[in-house]
Amino acid sequence: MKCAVVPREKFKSAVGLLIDGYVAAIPVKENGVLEYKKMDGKAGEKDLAGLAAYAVDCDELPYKSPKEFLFPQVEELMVFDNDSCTAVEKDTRDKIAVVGVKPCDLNALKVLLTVFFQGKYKDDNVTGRRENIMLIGTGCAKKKPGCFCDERGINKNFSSECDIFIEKPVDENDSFRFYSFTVGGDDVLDRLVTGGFGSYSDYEPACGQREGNGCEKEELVIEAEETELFDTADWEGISERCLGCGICTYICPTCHCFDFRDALAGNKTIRYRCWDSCMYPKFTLHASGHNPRASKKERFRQRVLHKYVYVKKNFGYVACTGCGRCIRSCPAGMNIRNVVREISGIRV
Amino acid sequence: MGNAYIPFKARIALILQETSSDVDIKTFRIKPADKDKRMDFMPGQFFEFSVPGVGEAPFGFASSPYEKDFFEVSIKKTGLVTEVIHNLKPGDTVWIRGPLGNSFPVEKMEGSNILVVAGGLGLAPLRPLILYMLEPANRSKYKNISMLLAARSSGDFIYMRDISEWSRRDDTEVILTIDRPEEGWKGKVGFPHNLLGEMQIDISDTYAITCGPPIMIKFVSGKLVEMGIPKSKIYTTLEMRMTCGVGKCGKCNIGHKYVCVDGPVFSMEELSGMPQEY
Repeated sequence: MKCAVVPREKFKSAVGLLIDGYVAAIPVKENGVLEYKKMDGKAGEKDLAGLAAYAVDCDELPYKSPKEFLFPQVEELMVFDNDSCTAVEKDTRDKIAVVGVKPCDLNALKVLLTVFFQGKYKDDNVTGRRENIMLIGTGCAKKKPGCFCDERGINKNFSSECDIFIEKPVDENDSFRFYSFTVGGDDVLDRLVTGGFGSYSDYEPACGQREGNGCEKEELVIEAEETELFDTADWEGISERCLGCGICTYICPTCHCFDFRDALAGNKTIRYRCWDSCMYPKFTLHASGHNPRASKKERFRQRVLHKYVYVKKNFGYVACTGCGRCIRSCPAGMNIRNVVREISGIRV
Repeated sequence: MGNAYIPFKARIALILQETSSDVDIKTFRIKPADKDKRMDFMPGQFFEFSVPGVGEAPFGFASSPYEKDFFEVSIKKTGLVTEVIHNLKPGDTVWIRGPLGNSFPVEKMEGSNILVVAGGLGLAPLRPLILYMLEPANRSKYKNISMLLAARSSGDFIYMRDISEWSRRDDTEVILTIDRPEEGWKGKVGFPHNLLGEMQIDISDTYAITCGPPIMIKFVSGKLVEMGIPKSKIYTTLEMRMTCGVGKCGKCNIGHKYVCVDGPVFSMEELSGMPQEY
């Protein structure tokens, strides 16, 4: 880990240097919605450094999580022709710098990478993309409505699950601090200091202590055995309002279920991998007509227990970072935090 | 390992019509196109069968693991992929990837009596196990091998050619049963769980392996437990909708266990510690 102090007046050019040579994925507000947009620095028309600096400073969470940069919503996996089946090479020309990623999403990407990297099989398509991505993290000043990262043991002010983390100044006289946590991050910081945008410091990450680390609350976890909660909790009542629309799974930073779809393209067939959702009845429908998760009761239970119990049991992490997206986006007002509290016997 | 999702090329060498009553079950003999790419599987494992442009689906191997030039799979025409597979002809190109999943504990079962209870197409994933145990090099490793094979009617048995041979052997006991009486039927009549009591089973030293319709698995395993066979010695194999087959896509889990990597073979002991969602 290295730390460079960047004076306020050099902040914008320092961020510009970080994203130099990368396609920058920057949260930009359009029609009132903050979303990551991929922008090519070579176009030269937009003030990329300015946008990126604004994104770091901006205290909002993008509507969608940045998971699509590792795990795209649709990707070509392989191409069949009459005689061969060839894996589609990942486009490695694009090195992407994802700017302004908040601690909840950085922790979620860690979960996503663990699921695809660990276990009996490794998914190189997802884990391989990490090498071409520079994650530039930044903290949140305030909790947003629906956010509960503090109950999920995540410090909203700081995270080391990235290449570079930018800590904002606490007062007007203070400077920005750029921390690096990977070899790639170290290199960029070297260039930044050599370029005269900042100077190295032995400053340790404040871990947000200046504002309280934000995770002093009791951690929201499910302690009970899966078989116990499976039948005892009132899943029917809990899932009553759920419409099964699946928006929670699409905007969730850790949801990673997928399907393969074939499409004909001339003499060839392209097999795509597309995001899928456990909220849909066909997700688990057997060809025979049997469906182990036939109603929304089973499907909603799967979503909650997968996040809070199954991933934790298999990979060591709870697959919910309290980003609050599903709570803010649900048209029926479902609230995973309250559900977990309810089934754990905590007063909502 | 390379990309776990990329299948390799194979050809259909032979297609057999399995049952006389139901033309929807066929056995396909499949030969990898490249001799270096073999399916070295163990009994109980499965593979993904691709038909480009239509999709991919998981099927259990149904032949002896000792056949090194080819393997077989028995498929009932049920959905989109199986319908297209049923229209394939010998010589057609297919795409396969595997072997996937775990297998029956053939080593743990050594030295014990073996009871196989299969219903209908449920015999298909057990056939590699039976052929493995009957292989001359392995036969002496197992004590009595008994089979209770059930089908709806006499015309619904798959692998009749095997069943005749297994019945002729003096080191196996084979009992056939059908759901309703039929003229000229020499076997038993009735559901398999009701016939278990009539079989000579040494409950202190028997491994039972069962597969069939879910309701049959439930009743047979229940009866076996009632008879006193420990849950740790009763095995079954499950099926689930799967996309990836390698524990990522999120479809086939039962609680935190993934049927594709932690299964498809489970003991009743394992299953009783898992949520009942299959």
